[in-house]
Amino acid sequence: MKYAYMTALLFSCLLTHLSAQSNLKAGVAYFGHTLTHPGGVLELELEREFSERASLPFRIDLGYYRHARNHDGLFLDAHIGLRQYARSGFFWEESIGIGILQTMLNGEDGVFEVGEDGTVRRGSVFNQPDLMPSVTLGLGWDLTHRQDRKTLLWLRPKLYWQYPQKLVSVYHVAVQAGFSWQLR
Amino acid sequence: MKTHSLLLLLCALIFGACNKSEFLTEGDYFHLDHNGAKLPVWVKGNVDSGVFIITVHGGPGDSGHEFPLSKGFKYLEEDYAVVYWDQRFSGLSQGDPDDSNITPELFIEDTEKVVELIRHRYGDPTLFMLGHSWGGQLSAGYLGRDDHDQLFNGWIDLDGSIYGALEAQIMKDWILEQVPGKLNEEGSDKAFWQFVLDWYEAHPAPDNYTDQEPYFFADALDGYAYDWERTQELNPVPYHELIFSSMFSLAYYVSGLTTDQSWADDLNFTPELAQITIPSLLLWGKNDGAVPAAVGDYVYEHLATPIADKRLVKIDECSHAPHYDQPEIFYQQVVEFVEQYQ
Amino acid sequence: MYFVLFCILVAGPGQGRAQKQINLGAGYFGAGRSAPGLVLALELEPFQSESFSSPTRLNLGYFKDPDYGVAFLDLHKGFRKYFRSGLYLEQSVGVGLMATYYDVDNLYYFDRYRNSIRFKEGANISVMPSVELGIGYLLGDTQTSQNRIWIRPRIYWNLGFRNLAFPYAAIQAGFSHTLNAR
Repeated sequence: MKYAYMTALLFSCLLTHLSAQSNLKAGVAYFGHTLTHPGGVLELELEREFSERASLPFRIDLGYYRHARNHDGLFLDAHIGLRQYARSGFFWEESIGIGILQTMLNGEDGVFEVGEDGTVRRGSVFNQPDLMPSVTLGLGWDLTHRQDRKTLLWLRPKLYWQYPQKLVSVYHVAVQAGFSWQLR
Repeated sequence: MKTHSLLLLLCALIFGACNKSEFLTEGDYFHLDHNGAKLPVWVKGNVDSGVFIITVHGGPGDSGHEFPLSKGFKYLEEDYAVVYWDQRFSGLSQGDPDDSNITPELFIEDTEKVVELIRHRYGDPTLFMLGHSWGGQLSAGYLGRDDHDQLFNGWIDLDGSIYGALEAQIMKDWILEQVPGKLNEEGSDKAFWQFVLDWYEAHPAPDNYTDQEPYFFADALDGYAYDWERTQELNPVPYHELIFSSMFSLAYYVSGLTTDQSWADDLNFTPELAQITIPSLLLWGKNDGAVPAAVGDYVYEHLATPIADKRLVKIDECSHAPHYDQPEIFYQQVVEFVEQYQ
Repeated sequence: MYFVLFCILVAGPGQGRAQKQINLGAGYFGAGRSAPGLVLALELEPFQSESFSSPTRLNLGYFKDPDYGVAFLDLHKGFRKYFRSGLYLEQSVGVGLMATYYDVDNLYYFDRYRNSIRFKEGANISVMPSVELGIGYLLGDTQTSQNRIWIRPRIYWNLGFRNLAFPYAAIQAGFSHTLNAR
């Protein structure tokens, strides 16, 4: 699985070098780990437009969230997928992504290590960084439809994996809601 | 209008996140980092009592976070501090520790570190250990070595394993004793019960953990929950809070102990039992099919605790989890024991 | 929610008056190392530009593991990017149903991760989400070619048996023919 997603990454890089009409957007969103555990995500998106109706967005997300008594997550991942617009400005999208997730233990009383001799000392909250493949679907509106610069409002459920964890991988679900606006 | 709707949705999400449940507010919550695994520890209940019950969960691969969902442990928390924690590769534990050396000793070492941490953080309180199922076996392994039992005022063995090969046979007897009745029962799934007989004929000496079929057979005989509907009524699961406002995440459903469990098959902690001398309460469901009550007899017989300080209680209309099936009796027995020996 | 979004995705906007091809394909489907099979693919491919399309593909497949046989039907949506050389790359996400026919002498089936199921005789139906990447090549003149070959690695899940932490991998390699010329 790891190698399949590494292939996806290479795939993404290749496609972003294609020439076509494109726009660059920045975005910001609420990121809810299992919906309610709050966080935020910043995104930078290069959207290659192949027609009025379809585009190939390449997106880099930088996000952070806190799941109390579980973990905090800091991630950087890249996505590539398909976005299709309706005349009304409504759009849907799908993308697959790959990135790095750095998790930190979240327990309000901290992390401890107990030595061989029984001495207790504070430990690090940091887990090892994990690979973070993901699949994201999305719905949204282009509020400035048919104008020069786009402003998009969107809702994106994201399913992502944390690999390796507990000898295998664990999976998470998140909902992102935000907007992005065209820089150029 | 669209913008307003989205803003309202965002507010609802943020409000939902701020509305914290008892899972996020009650007790102390911290992690133990040991040998590559990050083990969550939740100390909940009446800390001021100065009496701490350190639980050891079952499986291998289940979670200590299941205990506080039961009514039995909710009652206990009113009187004592209860320590819930997840073993490596299990429940809400994190990290990706080395898998090349999964041994019972590693789990015993984790248990030892949790105990040391509790003693250190709470000023050497009065300690009891409570192990359930596989946790019973693990706690026996821990208490019976290096005089660990002397750190505790008592041990509560709740339907606990002890000797894998023996248990597999006891479990077989328990199952086969009931199959003829099931075969003759009107409307029963005769093909299934015949399959059970055939399976045991083909597997006369099953492994305790590697062979999974006996656990399904035991479940079909209500060996896990005596009356599932009643158990659910007694212990309603707060799904909304668990999903949206608790420490639980989907990672909970992934156990890392998914491959070879033969390391746990041949475990025999009978020699460790012979080293445990502290007061002990052996609490068993009479209808336990996973670790049948006859295992309780075996533990009672081999435990070195003086007769006056050990007791075996078998509970009617109760299977593998007395804290779910018979929470009042569970609570009453544990409180009586703790009050006597604290 | 994922399923609803996916339905909108497949049936949703964006097809417009784009020029559409219908492609019919067949290929080898290999799940893991020991489960060979076949897949048929019927595809509606609307072109958004000369070099970019957004195909919707219906896959019908069968493969045989030593312990079970699987028939599946799923729907994929994604994009395809063509190059002048005739080479193309594609990506899609999909969801469908799989019917597993177990062939073991037991009432239960266990995998090597200790996942288990008490299966029934005949079809055991479950949900099958999947993700595919692909690389393909148009045979002959790229402007008029009606034939193509492709390789599509697939990651899929059998949600009636394993959870999302335990995916399966498969490789597909095949040939497609365009039924209506562009």
